[in-house]
Amino acid sequence: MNENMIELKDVWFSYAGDDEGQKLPPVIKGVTLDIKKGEFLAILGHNGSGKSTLTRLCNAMSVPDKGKVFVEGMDTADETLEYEIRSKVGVVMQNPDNQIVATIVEEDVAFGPENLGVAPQEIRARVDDALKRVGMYEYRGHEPHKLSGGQKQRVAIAGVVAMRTDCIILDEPTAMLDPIGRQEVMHTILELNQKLGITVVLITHYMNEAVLADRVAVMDNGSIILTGTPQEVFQKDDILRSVGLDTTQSAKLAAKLAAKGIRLPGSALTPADFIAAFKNYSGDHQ
Amino acid sequence: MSLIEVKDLVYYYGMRTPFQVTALDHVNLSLEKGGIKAVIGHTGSGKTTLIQHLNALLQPASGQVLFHGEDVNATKESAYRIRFKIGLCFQYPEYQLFENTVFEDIAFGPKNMGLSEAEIDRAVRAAASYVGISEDFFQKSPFDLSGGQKRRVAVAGVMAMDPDVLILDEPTAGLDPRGREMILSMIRNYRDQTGKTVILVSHSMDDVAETADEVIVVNKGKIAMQGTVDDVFSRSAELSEMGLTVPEVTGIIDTLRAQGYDLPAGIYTVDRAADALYRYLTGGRTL
Repeated sequence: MNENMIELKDVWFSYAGDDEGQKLPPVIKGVTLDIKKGEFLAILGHNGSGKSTLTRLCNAMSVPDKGKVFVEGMDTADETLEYEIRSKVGVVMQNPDNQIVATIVEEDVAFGPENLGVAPQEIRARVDDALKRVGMYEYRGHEPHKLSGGQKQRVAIAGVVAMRTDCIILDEPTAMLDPIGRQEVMHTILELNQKLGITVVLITHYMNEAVLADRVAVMDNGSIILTGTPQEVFQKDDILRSVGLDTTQSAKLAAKLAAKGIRLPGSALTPADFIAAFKNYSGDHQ
Repeated sequence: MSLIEVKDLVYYYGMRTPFQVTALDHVNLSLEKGGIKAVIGHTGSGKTTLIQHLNALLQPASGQVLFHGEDVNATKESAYRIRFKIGLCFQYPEYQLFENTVFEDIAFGPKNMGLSEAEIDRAVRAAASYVGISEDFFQKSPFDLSGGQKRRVAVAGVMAMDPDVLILDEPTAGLDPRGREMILSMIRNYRDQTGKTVILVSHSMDDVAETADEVIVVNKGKIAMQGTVDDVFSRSAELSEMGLTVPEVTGIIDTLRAQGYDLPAGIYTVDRAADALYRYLTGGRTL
């Protein structure tokens, strides 16, 4: 039994240029990464760091120039496995308007399983279940273009859930949403990971989303430069800053206090952690 | 006289259809000259509809928008003229780039104003310098630029018309931290160098905390609050009820306050929060 959902082994990739046979400079440079079954991995990186290309490599939309990508042990370079690989790994993109294909919410969710050749009755059951999972069941008869951005993204996620993929990759799914929509989508992602055991890969440049993950990988210039738990990664704020990223406000606040001589116990990456640490400290010092 | 005066403005979506919805409900608002004014509100609050009235892109069902005391909708001619005086940069403006070169794209507005070649050249150079786009880029295709650069070129296109008021709708949406910081510092520079009025539409309370001089909160088609950043952020409970999230540090301080910690309200920057917590822990003494 393979413990890894996706394995990237020394993967190199460059896009083709305008001229025949021309290759542009590589955008992925020797990435090795194991994505474990059931984990919630966040991939952080600034725009142009290669995050989105990595997504394409994980479900056989692109194939490495050098190195290998395996999805549940299947080599993505093997064209005969393409369908099977895509039935294991679903992708949700940044712009909700670019991935809605039908005029009614439930038809949109049914699109994926239909293409997989799932039987009609089974599709009905899957669509209802998926829409309930993302909290959009009551909107099943609505027109997608009249929904809010957060609602559209949840419909897109339901489409992947209905395909029963083992893994969902979300490429900056909240970048175009308002704060409420962002919370809705993050809540949905956590539910899928924790309740259904779906492997989640979240590509983001929001630090307060990355801290919710089990593990964080930081990309810069086509390479993975840091991996670890959010606590481990966000301690290295100098490295994060050097690649155009940041840490959370809570962590910055803890760092400012530390600079004034007040060192809070434990990590303070989220507001809840900070408050707990602050209370601890103030209880001990008064 | 205020720079912009919004009087009893009413606007409906789907007017005279069964789906009529009130988007703006008797809005009154005065904006003085200068500074960065942030218009905030959650999706569907009416903030974008409101700013589209400021330069006569939308005509109200009733009420008026006065610019320097003149009704922007008085005649077709005044509505046309106002669009050069109040420059509006839409959300994701980089999707509207279309010329062959960066220079031509920035020059599009000034050309339409009928300026001479020399004036156009001056306007483009000034605008490019505000947004930090160097001359090396002028002959490049705008489509070869990065996302953050494209957005800055698009904003420069509006600045090049030398408007009295620059309106930016969600200028940092979708940008990474570095791109966001660049846009915000560019907006602050523009204000400082030109002394012009900037209206920033945002749902990022962090952006507002870092840049705004004045905040206008729109909720359910009405103006819910108008004041300094301090005034508005000290009412964080009301903001949360309107579906707006306050900056992370404001949430931390307010949670501690609610639990009986004696801390000041209205804190929205990391520095101020650190100072307040430090003072609380040390009682004003140094450790």
